[in-house]
Amino acid sequence: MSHDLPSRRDFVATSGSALGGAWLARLAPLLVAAQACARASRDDTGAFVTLTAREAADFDALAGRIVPSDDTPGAREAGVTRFADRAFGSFLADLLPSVRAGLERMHDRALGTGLAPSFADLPTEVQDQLIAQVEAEDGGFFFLARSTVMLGLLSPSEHGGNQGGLGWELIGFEDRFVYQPPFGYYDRDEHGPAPTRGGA
Amino acid sequence: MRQQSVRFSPSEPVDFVIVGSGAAGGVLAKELATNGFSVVVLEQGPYLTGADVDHDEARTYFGDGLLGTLREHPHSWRRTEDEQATPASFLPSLIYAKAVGGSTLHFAANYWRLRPVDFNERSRVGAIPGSTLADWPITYEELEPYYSKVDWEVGVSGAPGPRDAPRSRPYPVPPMPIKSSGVLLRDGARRVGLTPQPAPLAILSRPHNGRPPCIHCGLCWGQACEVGAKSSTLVSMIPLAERTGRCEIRDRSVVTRIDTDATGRVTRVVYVDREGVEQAQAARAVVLAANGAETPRLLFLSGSSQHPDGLANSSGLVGKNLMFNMYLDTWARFPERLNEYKSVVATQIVLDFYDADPARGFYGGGGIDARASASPLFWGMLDNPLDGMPGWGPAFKEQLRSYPYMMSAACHSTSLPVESNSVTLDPELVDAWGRPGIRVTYDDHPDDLAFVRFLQDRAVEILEAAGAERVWRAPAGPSTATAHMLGTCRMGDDPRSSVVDRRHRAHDVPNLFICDGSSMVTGGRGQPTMTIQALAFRAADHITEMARRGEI
Repeated sequence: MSHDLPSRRDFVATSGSALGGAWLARLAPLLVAAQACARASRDDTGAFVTLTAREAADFDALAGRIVPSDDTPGAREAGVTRFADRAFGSFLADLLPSVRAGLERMHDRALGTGLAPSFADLPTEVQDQLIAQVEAEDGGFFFLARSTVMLGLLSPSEHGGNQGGLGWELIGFEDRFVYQPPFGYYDRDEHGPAPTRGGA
Repeated sequence: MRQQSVRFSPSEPVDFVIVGSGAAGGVLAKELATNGFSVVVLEQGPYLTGADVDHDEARTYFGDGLLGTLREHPHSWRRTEDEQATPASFLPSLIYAKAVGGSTLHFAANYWRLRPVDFNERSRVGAIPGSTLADWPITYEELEPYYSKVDWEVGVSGAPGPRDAPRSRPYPVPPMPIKSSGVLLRDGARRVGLTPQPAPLAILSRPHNGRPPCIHCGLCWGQACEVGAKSSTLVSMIPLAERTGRCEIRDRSVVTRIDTDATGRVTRVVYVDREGVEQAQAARAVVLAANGAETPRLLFLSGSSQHPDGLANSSGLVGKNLMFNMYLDTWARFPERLNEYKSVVATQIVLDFYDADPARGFYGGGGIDARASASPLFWGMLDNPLDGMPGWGPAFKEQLRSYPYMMSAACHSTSLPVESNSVTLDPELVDAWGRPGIRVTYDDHPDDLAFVRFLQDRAVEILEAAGAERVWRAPAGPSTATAHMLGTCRMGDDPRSSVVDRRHRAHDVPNLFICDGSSMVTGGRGQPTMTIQALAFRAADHITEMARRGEI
């Protein structure tokens, strides 16, 4: 994404004096620290720490069928499995047992096909068939897994997903901090004298 | 770091302890301190720093953001008293911020006033089976000066509309610039013969009271405002309260009970401080402003031999008559980009269906506003985003791309008071401070469902008249979550049928006042915060008079 306006965080960190006020001044140093933390976390490409290698591979394959990669990047390129690994080790830790058990059941379904040693190794057409089964028969797990994929796709990249803003780019959301009217097509003539109407 | 203006000794009684610093508590703190009283505000959440204000939806809803965690704040939900309540396990069902400023930090800032009809609707429409609908003990005219006070002191943008209640002062600042969704709602509504108007919002369109205007960053709904343009009590009231030198905001102070003496009067408020140590603040009087779910819980936890069923509960109505306001989305896709993630939540509203009409065959009234279909995160997370559309795969990915082309005509409407709809103590859940979790029992009244479906039909007509490519209806009910918790300590003149009197004094306890969403006798048509704050300004006047006359 090319930004001719600063990002939300850049804006707050650098514009405190322009807007003034103790409220904003209090924010600036903390957000600078948050940015540093975010940069550090983006450099982290090491092994998964919460999910096992097989769990991570299966989750990644599942994510790749929920928001597939085609002519544009999908959930895998956005790093949702990296997000899941971190989230299940931190703020979603309470959900890890349910997700882990669900991944195990999905693994059993994969073995049951006799076609591959894991879900991740199955052909995508078979993966899709199994996902349809999981959605119908193991809805609680599917909901958690799908929600986690969407969280990883559409949360700030500090959490490990939405790498390069790919998720936000997919849905057409720009992460700027300041907008000016007009905001969209339908309010384009609403914010000042309409040029074609003369001096009414 | 914030400079604490004053510190009071817990053992020395202050004039007032206020429990909660949100919509009502922030106003009461500012008013009572300004009127010369010593005030300690006990707030369970933190006094925010920038680290808490980052528009990070994952953190807000799933992490340690404004709402707190489900592990710290467990709560449960059931439809009827016969059912086992289900604990919230993924997203909270009771949505309110735990921080100084309370839910005014993350609200959408829609500031509708009630109208005269809201205050005497029981007399106008008669009894409704299954509902405890009652008239308020006060009128719109009595509350109007305080609505204007909210407009000017808290900061509300807007412009008079054809469906407004009478007002004594104009808005202090003009309405927010119209968004594409507002244009479409406005034009569609006019085409079907309705009378849309600008939405009043507690967000500044121009500098006011030393605060800056909105920079249109978006996602106001659910997130706090970085620049202080949203008129939370954190930026509008709390600084004024502290500046008096008579108000101490004690954050991370989780109240566990209110103690009473042998005569039944409250003497002190017991809380767990930020270090996890139990403390008690002595007080001449206590004001409960913790919200319509937390306030009844605290009263239940404060029983004594004089108050065996919970403090101030001789009526048996503490926690009962819980109301939410119905909410129902009507999604539509348009050919061009709206970009509804920008700027404020809503810029136009339709109030033509505000009044109940017996000819419909059911009770109800409400309004429609134009807003984003969802926040970016929830656009993806909606389980079955749009009826008939897939939830995964290539078609889902394609559907994700339609986000900037979407809007919702959201329906907001009445929810009738029903005595069995309630807040009680969950028998199993315990929160991080040893308090029982809050249990909600809620079954939508059939008239509430019938009316909101009626209103959605009107929303569909508006969107189609506006040129929508396609319209989707969200299903109506059953309610499974809420950010509006109303009516659980209702106001009234009769101690047998209400918890507080018309001045917000508990019928049973002369030095206990209750003022928040729980005081509301009816829930209006949506957007209750404006009324909660008008009630708080009014309560502060009455409490001040009583204190000065030595009547507390």
